[in-house]
Amino acid sequence: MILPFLWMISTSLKGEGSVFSYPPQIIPNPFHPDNYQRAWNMLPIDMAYLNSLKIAIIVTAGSLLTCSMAGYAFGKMNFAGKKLWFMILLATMMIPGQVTLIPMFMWFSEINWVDTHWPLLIPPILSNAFGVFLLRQFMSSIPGELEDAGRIDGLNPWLIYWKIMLPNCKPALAALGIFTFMGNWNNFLTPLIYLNDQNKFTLPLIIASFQGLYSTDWTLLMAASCISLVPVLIVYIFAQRYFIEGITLSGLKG
Amino acid sequence: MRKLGILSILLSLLIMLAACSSGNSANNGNGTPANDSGSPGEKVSLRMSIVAGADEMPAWQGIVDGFNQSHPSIEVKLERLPGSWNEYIQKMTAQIAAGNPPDIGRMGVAYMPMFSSKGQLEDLAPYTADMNMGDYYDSAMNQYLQDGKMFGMPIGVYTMAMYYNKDMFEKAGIPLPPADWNKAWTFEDLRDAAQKLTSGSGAGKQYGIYANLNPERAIPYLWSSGGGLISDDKTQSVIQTAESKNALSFLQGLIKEGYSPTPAETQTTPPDQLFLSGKLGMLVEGQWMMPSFSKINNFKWGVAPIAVGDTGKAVTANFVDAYVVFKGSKHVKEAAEVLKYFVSEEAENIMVDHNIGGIPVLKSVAEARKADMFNPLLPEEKEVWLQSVEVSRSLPFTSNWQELMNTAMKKLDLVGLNELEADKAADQLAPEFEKLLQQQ
Repeated sequence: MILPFLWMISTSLKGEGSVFSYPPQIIPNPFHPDNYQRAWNMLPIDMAYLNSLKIAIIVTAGSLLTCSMAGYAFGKMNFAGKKLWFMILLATMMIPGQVTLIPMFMWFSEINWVDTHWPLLIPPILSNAFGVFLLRQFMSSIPGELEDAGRIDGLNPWLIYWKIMLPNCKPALAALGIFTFMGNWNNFLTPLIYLNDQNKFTLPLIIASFQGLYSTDWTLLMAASCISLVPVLIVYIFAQRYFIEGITLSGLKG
Repeated sequence: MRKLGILSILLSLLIMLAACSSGNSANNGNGTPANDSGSPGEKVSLRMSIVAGADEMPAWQGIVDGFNQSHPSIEVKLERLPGSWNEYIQKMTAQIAAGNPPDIGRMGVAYMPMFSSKGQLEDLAPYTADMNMGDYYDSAMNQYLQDGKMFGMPIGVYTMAMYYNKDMFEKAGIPLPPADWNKAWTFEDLRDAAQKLTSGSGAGKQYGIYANLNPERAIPYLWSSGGGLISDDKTQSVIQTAESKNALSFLQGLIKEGYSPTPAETQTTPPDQLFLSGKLGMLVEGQWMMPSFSKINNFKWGVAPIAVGDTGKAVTANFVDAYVVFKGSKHVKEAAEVLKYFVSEEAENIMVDHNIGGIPVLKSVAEARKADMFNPLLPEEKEVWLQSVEVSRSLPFTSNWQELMNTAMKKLDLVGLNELEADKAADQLAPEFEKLLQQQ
């Protein structure tokens, strides 16, 4: 499982032409650490890094908030048409993104959001149907007694959500956080469609830039990919704790 | 107290959002209304959007800067898109639908009919009266100047020829292929050489040639055999003719004999990488491979004409991409001015300096810069490329070309994998081609 990953690191340190040599070299010879410097200097990777981080973090934080609120409402509260609304929400998941791409672009163009980061931030925060679904399922499984105990202590629904639901959902929130972060970190098509200015580009766009129309500099491409991988690894290592915690606690301690 | 906490989180989130986008929304390229009045002295700003890898940028930025410096009243802003033609086309389509396309674009020749047939490109003919068409290669200009209309300005001519590994030829004791298109190898010569160059087995196998069945690459074999894909007037399929079948069977034969990797094998290692690592003797590909092949330093290589079939007449395919002006541009006249500069001597020289765009469409530049182009090839091998323009033809691109290609590849991949005989595949493809031709 770790082999492709090692291969990527090894390729990023190889000289051109020796990428596909046979027998394959795992330890590159000669060693080319300058690939990283070349990749870094060729394009504004640092700007792209900041842009990508900004978008991924804001979208992750924002959609965790909206999804958990909606999830709580759908999972634990009673209101008119709850089932119908949930069906409609799930139905939006069935529409492939390509279908809505051009209408969305027209709409955002209308309000002058093209070539800004807004179309990459707002829609994923406000319309993460998968996240709502995931958290609703998880919250439904939290016993009602916890809520009742809260009510007896005088908590209103906001505080039940904040003090009881959220802490008990940590594993689900961590999982959703990882999905959302990764999804936005790797998103290619949406930024490509909406962004024109190279300084607003996200990392996947910059990485794709090392791929020409007819030829690819694999060594630079892999070096850039390695650079882009670091935050994903950090997020994964950081959130892994919650995965394990989730299994041992299952959110049902009391 | 707790409520305040939630509120403050919400608030800070909003502030964060607002802070991030400040300054981003000012310039959305929606055309600066001030310029529409056309008052003299006002600077006209044009958006140019191209798809390109980062390594191509010095050339593109070079010609744009050259224009901006010599034309103080017009400013071209260059936007680069990463990715492939596919994604570029998607983005242009979205922008056209939203009524906000860039003024100038770069268009792959295969996509031209798709856009021009829908009326999404401006006709440049009214602005080109002062161009002397005789200065340009006919094979490039004639594709775009048709029926008095001109929807694109050719960027440069890409043709195809056969790259070969000289070291492998020497080791196998085969004389090198000729460098003159009129003395090109026959199919038999090619097969003999491929056989002698093939050796070894397994993952380290050395292949004689890559028999590419992709119609865009295989078409020179079909043409020189007297066949083709579809008729020139794009109404009938000709892939089912005996001549076309001959050429396809010849290519399939090379795979059957094991002289060529199969489509499955080239999925894991692309043929150009196979050639780069010295495991492939001959590869028919376009000039666009020159920048990456020019970095080869562990063996000697050369370029030769593509082998010729029964007609005995050498032929190759050309791909002439174009600059276009999208419908909806508010400054067609100025944009046409830019395009005329891009095919001028000055701009063409900049393109040659950076080895981008193929053979210049301006004959004088192509002749004068021979020494600077196609390095590190020998002088007589450079002639292979220059001469190829004269014997080149353009493919009969249709407005649904991608669909046509996908349909073809579904059958031709089976041919490459030896699961379907070439002549049967051709017979099966003919009615499907005709159906698609009627739809366009």
